[in-house]
Amino acid sequence: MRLTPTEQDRLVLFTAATHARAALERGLQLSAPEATALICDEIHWAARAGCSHEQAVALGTSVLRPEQALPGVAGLLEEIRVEPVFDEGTRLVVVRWPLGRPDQAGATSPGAVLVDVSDVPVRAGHRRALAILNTSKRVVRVSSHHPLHLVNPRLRFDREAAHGFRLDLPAGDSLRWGPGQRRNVQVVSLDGFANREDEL
Amino acid sequence: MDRPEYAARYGPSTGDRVRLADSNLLVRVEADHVGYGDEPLFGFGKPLRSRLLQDDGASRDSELDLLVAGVLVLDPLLGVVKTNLGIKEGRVVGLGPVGGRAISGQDLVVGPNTYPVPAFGLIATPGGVDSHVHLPTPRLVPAALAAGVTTLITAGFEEPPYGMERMFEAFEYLPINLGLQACARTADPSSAEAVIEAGAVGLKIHEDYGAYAELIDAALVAAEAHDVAVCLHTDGFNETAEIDDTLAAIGGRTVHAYHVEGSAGGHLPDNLMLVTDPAVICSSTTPSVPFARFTAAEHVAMTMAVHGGNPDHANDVEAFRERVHVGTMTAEGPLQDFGAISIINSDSQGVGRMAETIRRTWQLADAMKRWRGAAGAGWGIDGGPDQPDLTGPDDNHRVLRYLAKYTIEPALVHGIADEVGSLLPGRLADLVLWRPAYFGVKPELVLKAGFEAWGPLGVGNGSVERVQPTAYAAHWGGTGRAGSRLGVTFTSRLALETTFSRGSGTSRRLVAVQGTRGLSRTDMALNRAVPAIEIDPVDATVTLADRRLAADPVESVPLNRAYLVT
Repeated sequence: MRLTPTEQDRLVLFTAATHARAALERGLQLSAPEATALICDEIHWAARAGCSHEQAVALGTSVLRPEQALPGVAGLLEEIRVEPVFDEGTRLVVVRWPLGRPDQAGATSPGAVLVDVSDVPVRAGHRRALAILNTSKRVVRVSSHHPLHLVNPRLRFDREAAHGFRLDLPAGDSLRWGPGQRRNVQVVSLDGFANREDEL
Repeated sequence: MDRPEYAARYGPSTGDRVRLADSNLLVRVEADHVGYGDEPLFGFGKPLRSRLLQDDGASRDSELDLLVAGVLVLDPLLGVVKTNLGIKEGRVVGLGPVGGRAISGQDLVVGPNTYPVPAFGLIATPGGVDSHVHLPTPRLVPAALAAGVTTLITAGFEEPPYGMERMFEAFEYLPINLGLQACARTADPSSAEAVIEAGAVGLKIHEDYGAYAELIDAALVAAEAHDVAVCLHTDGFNETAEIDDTLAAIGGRTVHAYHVEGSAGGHLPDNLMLVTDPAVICSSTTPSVPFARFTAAEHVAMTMAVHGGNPDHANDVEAFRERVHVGTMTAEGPLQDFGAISIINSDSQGVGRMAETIRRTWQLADAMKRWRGAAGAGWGIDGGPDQPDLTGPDDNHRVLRYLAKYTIEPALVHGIADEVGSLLPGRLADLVLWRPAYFGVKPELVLKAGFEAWGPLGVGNGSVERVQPTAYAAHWGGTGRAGSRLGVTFTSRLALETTFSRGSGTSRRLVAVQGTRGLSRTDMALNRAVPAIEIDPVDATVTLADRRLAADPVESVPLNRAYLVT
């Protein structure tokens, strides 16, 4: 057979999925790894039978109903990554919340976060408004923490005034400027971040 | 930003509560030191870059090797704290915001050579310290690492010195800390000296080799001379000593009493009276916690299998039956909850389950939260928890107390708390990352001395990580020679000065245990209650403050079938 490690992994999925089907036949509910294996196995077979990538992704959320799994299992299956072989070759299929996403009120879900009532404190720093025009022919994005005076020179604004500031966005967010687009933005001083201010 | 959105982006923050797996335990975030607005995310358009949160001018000395970013730390000494955690040269060096003032240790400098581990939404705990490990087979080690255990202290039985040398060699490349203990089988001091010189970090008194008063005394004398631990499995036959005689032989000197409840061995039926002596630091083993419907049923065949019992011999069967006593079994959970029994360990394959130390600790915490809610206050225990565990919107006290049972408490008892058992700066960066939904049962990643050692790895040909099927396996830290630089071998001071100074060929770091003597239960971090229980010598029922101390057997537990292929 000249089985590769990848093919052996495929057989592990098949074995676990067969185990899951046996559990269902006995009227038993599935655990998280059993449900995962069954979903992956069905996606592999569907790809082999010629389904599209889109169909494979959609199949991931329809293989099992939540009540076919043990209580809590839906909340354990956040994301499944599986790589079936389509006629065009191997492709990654990512299925999010295959048994449905536990809602915020789902306080009994495994690992649930029960949030406090207050808002999270606002980051320290001076704030001001700034108008920024994109003179580029391309889309330009600026992320939360980039020092504004160093961004793409095709963004036109008062760089002097922007010195020591960044966009007032949550960490990891960004703003998009289409070609020719002007935005009025809120900026925040970098001095809330102690070690960096002297260098910027 | 409102709370649900913040939690979805960056994980829970101050005041938020997190359910641990599918248990009834909730931890409340006590403080958030990640740095609001400056959360160090890594990736496409994220702030952990040059010009941004990265300090390009960081010196080689100041920059971290590893930044565990945005993690919820659960630690018996640090509490329940959201923070970034900085690691350098295999050790935790600081906790706090990136580029701001550290809350503990040194400030976190993320330089151009710092590797980020995104852990927003994840929980970090210290790696588990299993202080009662039998090692009949190498298959135990992957089971331990896959469960989040990073330190093994064996349960004795490692003699002779020739065998100990081979065991040290066998562990050379394994990314796990190891301390070997040997049995003390004679009052002749030269035998104990030989195994301590060979590297034993403790002596084990075991009834199968004799647990007579003079053996206990001799082991303690040797231990006091060399600063090593003494672990105790008492005389279940009451052949030469009863509980009072054993307590007299201990004479107020520190011992670690294994499976103190007694069904796994020890004075019949009142071994559990050891919890009344503060010099005795007590542990439970995996099969007996939490007490459940079939606990007693399993114990007869299980104990017979490891203690030379003959199932075809009626006298053996009777003796093994008799040592299983439900009266003390039902009191074990409550005494764990009070912190009177300080430690949980596996007793792997002799009798216990290597991969279930951590899982069962949380199953017990879950069961005891229910029991204590019903049993209420007023047990009158010095040093034990009371109202905080009965009221309030979270279980932080209970969770930290139980976490301590397999981290800092065994580390203290075995003289290795400067290295393991907590994520305080200075300790080894042996830490386990958990997705909260999988907490305590299946880790997200096990870091050993700040390097990826074990985890649920996906298909090798996968275009990304974690393509199914994922399975626990050695990460790079468990590959090639890396483990020898990540795993610590604990030894005695004497062995460092003798056996190992002559050259042992090991690349592992050798650390002498210290501070094992003169400890009392009141020196434990969070499990230091000394209750004045009484035990009926006939039916083994346990009484405390004139009330029967017993929890009903559990019928089902969390962190169980929903997580497993069964």
